[in-house]
Amino acid sequence: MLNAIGRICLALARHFKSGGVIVNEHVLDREQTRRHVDVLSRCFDFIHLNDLPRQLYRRGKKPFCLLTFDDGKRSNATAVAPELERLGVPAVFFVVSGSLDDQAPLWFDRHRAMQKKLGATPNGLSLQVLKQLPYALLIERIERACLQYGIDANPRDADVGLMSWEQVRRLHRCGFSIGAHGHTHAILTRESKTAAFESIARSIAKVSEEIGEACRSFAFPNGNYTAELAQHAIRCGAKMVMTTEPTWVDQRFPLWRLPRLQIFGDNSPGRIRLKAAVAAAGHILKNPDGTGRLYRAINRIARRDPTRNPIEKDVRSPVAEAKARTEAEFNAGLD
Amino acid sequence: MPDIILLVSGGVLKSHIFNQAKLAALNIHHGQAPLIRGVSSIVWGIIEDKRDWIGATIHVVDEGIDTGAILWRGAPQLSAGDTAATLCFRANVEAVAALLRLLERYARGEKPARWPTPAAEASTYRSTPGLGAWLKFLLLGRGRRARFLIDRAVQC
Repeated sequence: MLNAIGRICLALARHFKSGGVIVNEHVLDREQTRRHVDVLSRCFDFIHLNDLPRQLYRRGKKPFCLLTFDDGKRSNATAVAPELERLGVPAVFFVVSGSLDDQAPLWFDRHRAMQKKLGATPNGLSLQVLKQLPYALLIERIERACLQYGIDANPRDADVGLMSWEQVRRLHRCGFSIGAHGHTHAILTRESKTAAFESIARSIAKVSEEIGEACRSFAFPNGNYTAELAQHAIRCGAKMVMTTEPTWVDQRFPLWRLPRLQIFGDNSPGRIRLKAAVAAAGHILKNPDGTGRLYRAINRIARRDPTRNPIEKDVRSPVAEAKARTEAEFNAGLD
Repeated sequence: MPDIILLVSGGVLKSHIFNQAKLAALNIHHGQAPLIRGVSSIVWGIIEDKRDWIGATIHVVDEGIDTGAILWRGAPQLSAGDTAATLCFRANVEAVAALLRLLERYARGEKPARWPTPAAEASTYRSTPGLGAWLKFLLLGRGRRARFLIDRAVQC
């Protein structure tokens, strides 16, 4: 039933909408990867990250789909990437640079392990509270609770442990794009502005250094962003900045605020279709970053007054004319 | 006699009480003093669309309301989706961290310097919001629909 509704809704969405979807995944096994690709390929053309700016302005037979995987879990390199390579599907892997250095499990995996073992959330450790805290304080609380209960995430689990930089380089050599996802998985709007700026700059610089070429994309951890942080990512060299606003993307979205639709490994084909179709409406799904459907108001304001766009403001100033030309040359180079 | 008196969201102290502190009587004010003084400053910031009012201040208690020498002032990053509750929580987290640093300085026998603030800052006093202001606050979704917070997603 869900499958049939999903098919009809998606067929309608394809007919009326231009652009496409950027899909945000986290961990999948081989079978789930195959299933997701199979479902999405029936309705979308998979594209490479470099083709995204051009695709936003092009109306093809089919809408496009860009696959992105956040966090850089080891299973992304050992299960997802080989399967995608076999199927010839491009994707972007966003890695947490500092965590890849020290190979420590990410804070939410430690929290999940604790919750699973205890069956409840310890006092002061609800996700709602933790997601308001600056990273240092958040880690301190998680660390203390892990010690107290003698529980921690298992880094040997491929869905918890992170890939190595060697695996990242191998993915890059295989043609996958590598993006930055912060130096730690701190929610950047909860940090001081200086710390958030540093996390963005360090992660982009580290990824660029490891893959041996400029890192072109940045995805906000947990999806929380401000225009100022996005602008900083652009200043640090990213050409495309991604959020988690669950809508389709077209030419009305600036490259520094690209929405992504979150899909999970256990989502059935019908659910994936329905989610993709509903996302086309642009105002039904909730943003997983905790801001609900506020993105409707954000998009309304952004479209009503494009001069608010900080990047466009930059481009308008005479000093930034040269910068705009360089950008255009860069984008031409991508083609 | 206490070395230090700490006041967090308390009422107004009489001088014979706060003068008992040997080193200082300090207050955490949830708002950026002296720009905004009084109570519910973050709520007032949302109601009156004043992003500069949102934050926290640690100041020395004197006879006025939030008029004492400022020792620290800060504000969390504002972002779309924030509410008065989240902003107050994060401002408080920052203020408590700053307060610990200040107390460490007092413990070392140092006297913290005044926080640099612009000389001619306008100062506004607000007491508890009335019914009209409270209704406006609720209509703004307790901050979720405040324009200056939504604007953070589209402009710097």
